[in-house]
Parts: sequence; structure tokens; C-alpha cells
Amino acid sequence: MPRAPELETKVLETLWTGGQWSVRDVMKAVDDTLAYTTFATVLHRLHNKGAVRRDKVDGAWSYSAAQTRAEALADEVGRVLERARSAPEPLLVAFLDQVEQVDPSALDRLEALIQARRGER
Amino acid sequence: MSVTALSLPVVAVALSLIAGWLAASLLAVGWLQLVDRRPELDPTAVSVFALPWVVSLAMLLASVLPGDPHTGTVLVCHCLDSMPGWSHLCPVHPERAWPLLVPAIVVLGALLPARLRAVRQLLRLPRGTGGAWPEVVPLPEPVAVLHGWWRPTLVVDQGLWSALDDTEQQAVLAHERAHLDRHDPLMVVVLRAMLVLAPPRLANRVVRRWLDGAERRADTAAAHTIGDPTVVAMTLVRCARLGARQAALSLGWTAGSLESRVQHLLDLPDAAAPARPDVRRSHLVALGVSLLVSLAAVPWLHHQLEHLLNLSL
Repeated sequence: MPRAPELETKVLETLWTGGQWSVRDVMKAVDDTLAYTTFATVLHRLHNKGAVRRDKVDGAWSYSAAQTRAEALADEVGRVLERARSAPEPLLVAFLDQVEQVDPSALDRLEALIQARRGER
Repeated sequence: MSVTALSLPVVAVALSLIAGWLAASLLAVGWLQLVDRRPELDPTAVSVFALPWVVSLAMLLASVLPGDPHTGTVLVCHCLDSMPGWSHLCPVHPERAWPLLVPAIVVLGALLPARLRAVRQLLRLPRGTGGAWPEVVPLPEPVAVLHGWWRPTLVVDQGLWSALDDTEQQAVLAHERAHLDRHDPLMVVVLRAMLVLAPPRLANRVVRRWLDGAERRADTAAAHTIGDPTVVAMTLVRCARLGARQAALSLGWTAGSLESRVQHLLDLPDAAAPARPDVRRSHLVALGVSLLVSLAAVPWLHHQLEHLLNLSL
């Protein structure tokens, strides 16, 4: 049985494909060997977190993603960046590191070094 | 179980924790000094910082498993063979650890909260969901990051991505692909898990140092893929300039880390070979041997530990 956050991700990935989903539809799409109540609980939890919207359709809840996949990812990465900025511990593997100061003259010097190396070849 | 009988597990955990903390602290200080002189050794971090866990495990076992190298007894109670009044760490008579309970609680109070915080932070790290490569989305800062440690996604800021030309985009992709191929996001988490025993500041310095090395190794691999180290170096400077234009976002870089990466790339031969993986078979063998040696030393360690505790009481 997948762990709860893993199941939440799978449910979200299903909802991100678009449209309105009943609990039973989500269950069929993700893993119909798990209990109906498991998916009802996961969807309820995601709704409480603001990750999904729900509407009553014919007396039953119908769920849809509150954000697109890209929006959700941008939000999550934004939170990680914010945490990395405020907390001293290194969290990320980034192309360029995050720090406080920018020194344009250092960049000019580095660019000159690279051009010089290219000239040597 | 009586309260006095509970004292043995508490004492055992405290002794194990203090041994791991001491080993991790000493190793972190030594490792940082070593890699300052020999930067090529920074890939050893994950293997080296598994050692404090070996020490911690050995101490845990030594605390609860009786053994006496003089009488050749292992895993049996040897209380009757010992001098009268001699304090014991013995699972048959766990109440004998009672005098050590208060110091053990003090040790746990001093060391445990920071360890638990570190574990909680690790558990909160996003696992990632995989997906498109790259995911180009608007971010609050012009960055390209690997998001998630289990199924990482390359997430690039839309503004940064559209400002790079095709060659620069290829350089960024090659660099991030190298991180992925080397399982760097997973390695960061493993390293941080290994360093849970170390003091947080030292642990951060070790992770920071390892990340600097990981970036250089990914740069080397990207230079190998692209076939020209200067393209990767120029892309680094270009990304830095793009970030520099958005000063309000406080994104930049230490001149030192950017400069060292550019210099590293310029020092590479044109046909640079990608770096080897961090965890090598030889490291695992060395770790396995140290584990076996530690386990074999458990009876001796138990005996010495009892000597030490009786001297201090």
C-alpha cells in the first residue's frame, strides 16, 4: 500500500489531467485495490490543504484540481526557495547558488577570463 | 517493568548518542580540514559520515550486551564474576544502571532535540513527482533547480529559460542531467541523514562543502557532454548576469563559489571525462570492514565502558 503523501501525489496527478472526478473515478484511475474510504480521506485531506476543489453533484462530492500541475510545482519550489533563504541549511541542487550579494565587476572579470581561454584554443 | 529496569535502555541510548555525536563532530572537523587541502576527496563525505552510525551502533550494543574478555564470556551475565559493588550494564539486571539514569537524561536532553529537528526536516523534504524535463514555470527567483530527492524534476524559471539561447539551455540541461545521473538529490538527503548525529552547524558546513564539489562534478560532466568547458563557464556567468538584473529578488552568488567553478571549468582539458560516482565499491567494503571490526570489539568495549563508568561514579 502506498504511503499517504505518495497516494496524495498520485491522486493529484490524476486530477491534474483535468475535469471533475468522483471518489470512485479517482479510485479506478489510481488503484482500485485500495478501499473507497482511503480515497475519500485523501481527497478530503487535499481539499483541506487547498489543493483540490469540490462541488456537490447529484448529492455526491465531485473533485477537481485547484491549480494546474505547473502552478502547484511553482508554488512548492517557491516555498522551498523561501525556506532555503531563511534557514541556514543547504537544501537544493541548483545551477547557481543562492546568496546575498552580486558583484558585476567580478562577472566582467570572469567573462574576460573565459574569452581569453577561448582565444588560446 | 519497573522504573529502575527502564534505566538500562535510557542509558544505552544516551551512551550511543553521545558516542555518535562525538565521532561525527571529530570526523566533521577533520574531514573539512582534509578537503580544504585535498578537494578531490569531498566525494567521500557520504561514506565517511556513515562511520559515526557504526560507532553509535557499536556503543548501543556494548551498552546492553554483556561481555568480559578476561573470562571469555559473551552475551551472558557476568555480574557474579565481578568485584562486589561493581556497577554493571546488564540486561539480566537492568536496575544496576539506575545510578547512571540522571546523567543519561541530561545527555538526552542536550543532544536529542536537535537530532529530532534534523529528522523532521528530512522527512519534510519533497520527494518529487518526476515529469517533463525541464518544467518551465514562473518562479519567484530566476533559478534552475532539481526539485525532489526521489523523483527529481528540473524546474526552471520561465524568465530565465526564455533569456537563455539554445546553447546555454543545453549547458543547463547537461549540468542538471549530470546531477540526476549521479543521483545528487538523493545523495544530499543520504548525507544529511548521515549527519543527523553531528552538530547542526558542522553538518551544514559539510553539506555545503559537498554541494560545492557536486556542482563542480556536474560542471565537469556538462563540459564533457557539450564538448567545450568554456560554453558551460559562459552559461554560468550569463545566468549570474540574468539574476543580477533582478536585484530586488536578492538572487546572486558568492563571487568565490562562482569564480571557483568558472576557474575549475577553464582548467579542464577540452576532452574532460565525467567524474566517477561518489559512493564506490571500495568505500562500501571499507565501511563493511569497520562495521565488522566494531561488532567484534563489542565485548571489549562493554568491559571498558563499565570500567569508565565505575571510575566516574
